[in-house]
Amino acid sequence: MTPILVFEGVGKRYGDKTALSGVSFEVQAGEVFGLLGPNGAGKTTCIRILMDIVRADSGTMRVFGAPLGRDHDFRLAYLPEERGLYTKQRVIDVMVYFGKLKGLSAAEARARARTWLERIGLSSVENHQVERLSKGMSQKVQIAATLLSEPELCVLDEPFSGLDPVNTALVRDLIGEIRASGRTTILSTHQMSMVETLCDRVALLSEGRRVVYGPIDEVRRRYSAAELRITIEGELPELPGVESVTCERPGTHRVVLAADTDPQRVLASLIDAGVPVLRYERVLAPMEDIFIRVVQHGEDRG
Amino acid sequence: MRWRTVRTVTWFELTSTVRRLGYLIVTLGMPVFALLYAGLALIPAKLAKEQESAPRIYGVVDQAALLGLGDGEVIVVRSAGFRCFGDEARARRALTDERAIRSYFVVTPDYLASGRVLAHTGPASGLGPWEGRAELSELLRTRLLGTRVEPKVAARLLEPIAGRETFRVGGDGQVEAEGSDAFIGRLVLPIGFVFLLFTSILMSGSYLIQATATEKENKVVEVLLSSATADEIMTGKLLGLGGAGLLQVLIWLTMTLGVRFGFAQLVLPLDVQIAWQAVAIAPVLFITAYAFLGSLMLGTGSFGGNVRESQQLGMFWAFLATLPLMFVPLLLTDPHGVVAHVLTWIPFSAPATLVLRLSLDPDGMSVWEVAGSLAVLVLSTWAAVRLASRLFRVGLLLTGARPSLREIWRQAKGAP
Repeated sequence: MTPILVFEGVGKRYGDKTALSGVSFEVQAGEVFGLLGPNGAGKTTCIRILMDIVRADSGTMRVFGAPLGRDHDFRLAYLPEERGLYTKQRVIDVMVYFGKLKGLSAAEARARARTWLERIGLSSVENHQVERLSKGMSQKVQIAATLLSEPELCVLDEPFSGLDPVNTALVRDLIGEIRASGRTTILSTHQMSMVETLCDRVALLSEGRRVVYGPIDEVRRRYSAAELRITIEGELPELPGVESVTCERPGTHRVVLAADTDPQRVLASLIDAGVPVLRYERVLAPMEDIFIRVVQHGEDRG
Repeated sequence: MRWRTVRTVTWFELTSTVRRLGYLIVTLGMPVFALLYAGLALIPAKLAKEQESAPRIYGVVDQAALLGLGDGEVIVVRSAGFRCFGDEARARRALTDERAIRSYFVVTPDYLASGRVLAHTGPASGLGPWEGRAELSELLRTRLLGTRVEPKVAARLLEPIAGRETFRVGGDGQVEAEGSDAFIGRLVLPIGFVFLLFTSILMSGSYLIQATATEKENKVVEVLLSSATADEIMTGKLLGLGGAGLLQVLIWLTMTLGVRFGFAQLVLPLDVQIAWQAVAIAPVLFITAYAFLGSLMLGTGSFGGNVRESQQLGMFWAFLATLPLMFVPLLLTDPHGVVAHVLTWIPFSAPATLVLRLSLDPDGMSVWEVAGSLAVLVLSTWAAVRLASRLFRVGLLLTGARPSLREIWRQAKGAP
């Protein structure tokens, strides 16, 4: 796969403070890439460097196979974490302005803005002043304004903040649609459940350094203990190579394997014993756990 | 710089400003306010004029026996009447008890030798003891000359320059007659230019700073900077909001000229003579000066945390821009003196100075001086725009505590 974005040894300092220290990662075309980390880890600095808002002190960055240039503006879109709209303007005017800044003609921007307002259920507020919108409505308008130009690479910084569950699902679906259309998204969020649902790969930053990086399933496996969740009919027989068994609810057991036990051997043992296996899965560490273990306790598994 | 992006920013800033209720109220309401204000100001002026038309009466006790007036006789000199009293006691009564006179003068017996005149005020003496001094002096001069000199000589002594005719000798030595107020006519362009420039800068500067501070408060800065460069945004703002400010000033001028009020009434009857050199250079200077000062205002104003702070930071430049006004009397006295030469080369004062000097005496300025001054102004503007766009970017992204000047400089140097 062709990387659409390459960060290589990127460093950035603000005065005495190191914001980024030799950060490297790649974002593949068509994926949803999770850029994670605690507050102050350097995520926003990474994004600002990508958007050419600030310049890196060291390292290199390539976007769409070339060094960053202003001609990339129209192919990128950015929803910042600290965001807002022109409160005294009409909703449609703000969206058209943002669309025009991304290279759309006025007519095209207006047509697309109307389509997007319909898509997010806000057609009725097209001519309202922005200050009349609720926080959630304003958030949705901001997201729609970002996606208006159909960018090839879309950077969304905390897109779910301030949204109720219904609108969170709407934005989640929008990100899914972007991926389905072959376009790329960089998602920065503290909602780890969304990371697990949406992201193909992740990079976790802490104190300006990249501490975790890779496909999300691989990362979760890397930080998971050898645990199985088995749902069966009847009683769980004695299994070889098992350290402990916990019954989560009737029929469902959490099984911790010994260090050298092959999970396939356990499954084979169950089948040999004639136990009807309804569900058999590897228990992966939730991203939230990984985040806390890495950031708070400094756990490093490569 | 992508001009399409600049155009987008310009149009957005212009249309969103001119549609604002506050803008419309100020634009359309200011002339109405000015008319009301002028109307109110005219009332005391009219009353004062009415008072002037009725002669003010002063007493005079002629102890030197120079005036040749009988007791109680009144003589009027222009708007002042002098009533003669035989002795000071009667004059005092007229002043205090009867209140028939505003004050009285005693021409002392030794007046011819000493020139002493004693002024006496009372409870209602208006502007002080020496009110009416000019008229009394004229009366004394007339009486002193009396029959001692020929009437024609006396008339010339009283008014040495009675008939005035004005001519202008051009650079080519040709002599042309012109009205006596032609000098004022030559000031029309520079005064209009300076008025338009400073009003536009103040109005547009206020809009520029307000718009930038609002963007910071509304948190749209990063979205803008991810779509356009700081140069493009700043240029768009300068053009759009400058256009809004200029439009406002033009509307005011049109309304003012439309009702032939104030400035227009003063200017239209004059023999307005405008040097083509000044006319040719004025638009260039106007645009350059606006870009120079506007960008500096925008660059520093972007460091404010809110509208008020931004205005305080940005308006410093507006103050500097008005400095040349302090030198106007010097420039009028000597348009090609040392001060004029120095002011011509300082970017803050060059626009007003150049227009003034070229209007007063276009032939007195060498081509190299005009070109050099213009070059310095253009280069300064370029440098100001470059510096301001970097400051603008740093300032826009600034949140929390304000960084030190060193840190601002460091970040500005490293800005894309």
